Amino acid sequence: MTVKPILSALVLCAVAGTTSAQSIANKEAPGVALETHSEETGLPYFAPGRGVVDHEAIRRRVLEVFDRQFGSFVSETQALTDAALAYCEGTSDEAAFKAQFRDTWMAWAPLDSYQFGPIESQGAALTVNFWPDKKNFVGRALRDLLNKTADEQADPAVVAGLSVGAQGLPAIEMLTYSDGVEPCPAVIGISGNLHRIAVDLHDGWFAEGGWADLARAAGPDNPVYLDASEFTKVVYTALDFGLTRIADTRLGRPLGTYERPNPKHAEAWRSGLTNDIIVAQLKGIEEVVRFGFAGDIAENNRSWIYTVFEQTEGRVDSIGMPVSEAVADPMSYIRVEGLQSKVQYLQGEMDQEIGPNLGVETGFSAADGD
Amino acid sequence: MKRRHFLISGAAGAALSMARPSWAMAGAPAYLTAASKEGNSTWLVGLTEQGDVVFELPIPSRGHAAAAHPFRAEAVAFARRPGRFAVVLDCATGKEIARLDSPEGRHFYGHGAFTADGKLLLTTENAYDVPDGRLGIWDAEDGYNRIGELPSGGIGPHEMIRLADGSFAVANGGMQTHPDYDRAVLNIPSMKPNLTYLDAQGLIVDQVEPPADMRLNSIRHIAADDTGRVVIALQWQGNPLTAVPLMASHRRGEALAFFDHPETVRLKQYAGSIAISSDGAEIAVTGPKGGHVLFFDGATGAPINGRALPEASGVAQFGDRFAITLAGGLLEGGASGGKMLDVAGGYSWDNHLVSIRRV
Repeated sequence: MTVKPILSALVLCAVAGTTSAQSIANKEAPGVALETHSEETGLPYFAPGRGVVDHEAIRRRVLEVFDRQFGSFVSETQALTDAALAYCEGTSDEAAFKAQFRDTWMAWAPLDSYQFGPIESQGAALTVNFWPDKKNFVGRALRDLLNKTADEQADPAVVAGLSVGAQGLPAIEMLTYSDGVEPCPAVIGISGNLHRIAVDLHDGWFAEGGWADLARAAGPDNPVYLDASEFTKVVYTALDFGLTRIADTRLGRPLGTYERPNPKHAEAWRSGLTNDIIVAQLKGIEEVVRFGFAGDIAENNRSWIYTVFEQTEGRVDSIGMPVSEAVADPMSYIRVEGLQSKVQYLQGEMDQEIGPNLGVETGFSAADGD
Repeated sequence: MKRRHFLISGAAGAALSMARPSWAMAGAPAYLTAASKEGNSTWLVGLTEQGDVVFELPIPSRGHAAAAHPFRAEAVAFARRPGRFAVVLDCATGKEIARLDSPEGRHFYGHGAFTADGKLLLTTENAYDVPDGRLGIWDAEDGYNRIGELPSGGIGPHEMIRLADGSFAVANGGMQTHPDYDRAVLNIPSMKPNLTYLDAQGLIVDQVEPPADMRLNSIRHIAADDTGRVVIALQWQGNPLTAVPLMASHRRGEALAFFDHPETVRLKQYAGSIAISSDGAEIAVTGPKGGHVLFFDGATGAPINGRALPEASGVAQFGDRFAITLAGGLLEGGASGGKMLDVAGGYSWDNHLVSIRRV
């Protein structure tokens, strides 16, 4: 899982697509070429900083990252629906379905950070990933689904009418990774409904009049964003929230206390995807910093934060086993705790190195409301 | 259900109560509000009607509303949701009397109210794994021990107030949240706010819900006049581009009435605090996000006018009109104008101003 820094940058660049290079006029010495920079990413630019943050450029680039990340959830849920059909028809095996299930969850993981806009207004957080599930809502909702006819189970519209516990990734996981449960044809209906949710979320952002248009129309008459910097602040706050989710929830829940860890409080412990989800969410956050905030953060801060992201992802690797197993053993427990500290350190470094660059610290004001 | 009997008064404790410091001994503040200062330090502040700070007491993190004891100089400063603490302060000495920690599986929403006899404190709480709304019951005569809880009548109870007859109104905002998701709303497609009335014993006696097209208009902050009419500051959770009224009023036995205003759009879909003037002639609604205040006719609900007031936050009765916290201080007045009182100290106010005389 460890990716060397340069390789990781290449992979992310490939995802970012083509970037156009252009030269910038040198105001100090007309006619003398300055270094080139990419209009798409704002990279590179003149360290240690030009002293202005271009929030409109940040918005444009962040929306491109979101388009990719939400778009990936659309395509992976489509592939999951196809995989469920093939698996239940017997034209592919369980391993293929499980592999696609993993890819789908990895596509959702970065979106977990963005609990505003369409995810919030469509109630998608719990529908896609009902967790934590202290009262076995998922199991109870699945019982309702499995009591229906085969045709109904395979029908996304029927699944959409059930309680949220039956609609998400944990429901598919429970069906696929529990003994004595027949996942077909329920996984067809759940996958199809998830794809519908993915399309609705992407539309909520990027269809005409969607949340992206609302962000682009920032201004005194905008009911949400009074100026472009407010969108930057919301995105920055969302990344901070994503790191809190990893440290406090994804790691804090299974860690419990040293005397009493809670292996089964780990997210996705049945499928063992806990660690991969954490890495995928970290990479999603890093992608927004790298390609969204990009050149509006000074070079030295930017390269340092990439280093801390790499180190943090390395800490996930060094656990060497699923988080749910690791917390049960005192030796490996310490490594999970170490990762949690590292994520909190990353959060602190974001606050020191990135927030001030953007002029959007997470302080509070009377306008926050409640 | 036995729990309803919690609120029935037990032994006469009034004599004991009177021995403790009264509000006069605390410098006779007229208002309480939570505030923060440069560097994110957080405070409970007592203000006089002249805008003088009679005390500022540090609290552990960001506060929301406060509840003032009916006669003892005791104030409860609540953490802003999803906070788990509330601090009971002796406002005469500045000492902490008690610390309330929400029980396992509960957090505070930032509001609460005392019973009329001052013996019990009720707090709006989130039973987030259920999920359901609760009212925590704390014994103000016994070190603020928690002695039970009551159903709030809906998801997301936010502000609760005691009415003139000793009964209560609770704004169940309908918004499901969970501390794992910070402040994100998790149930917008299915949310159903309501206004719930409880009798003085804590038993739910009446509930009213908005009509279908107003289902996403969260009932969050409320005020009442002496006749029991409740006015409501709303927060719209639907499409932000949809124009909706953000003020409503209700009288038991009637439907909710919604009141539009030509300047509603200036509130950015978010009404913060609401108050009715003591003569009943005006209703003021603050919009801290939009930096604007709306004034309505208190009798008809018709719009009067509005004013741009930066960071207009809390509003409470003052004389015949209102006191409104805003950037830099306190504005005293109403629709026809008012006087700005500067408050030194660089405070950033929370959304609520609690009038001690009205508790």
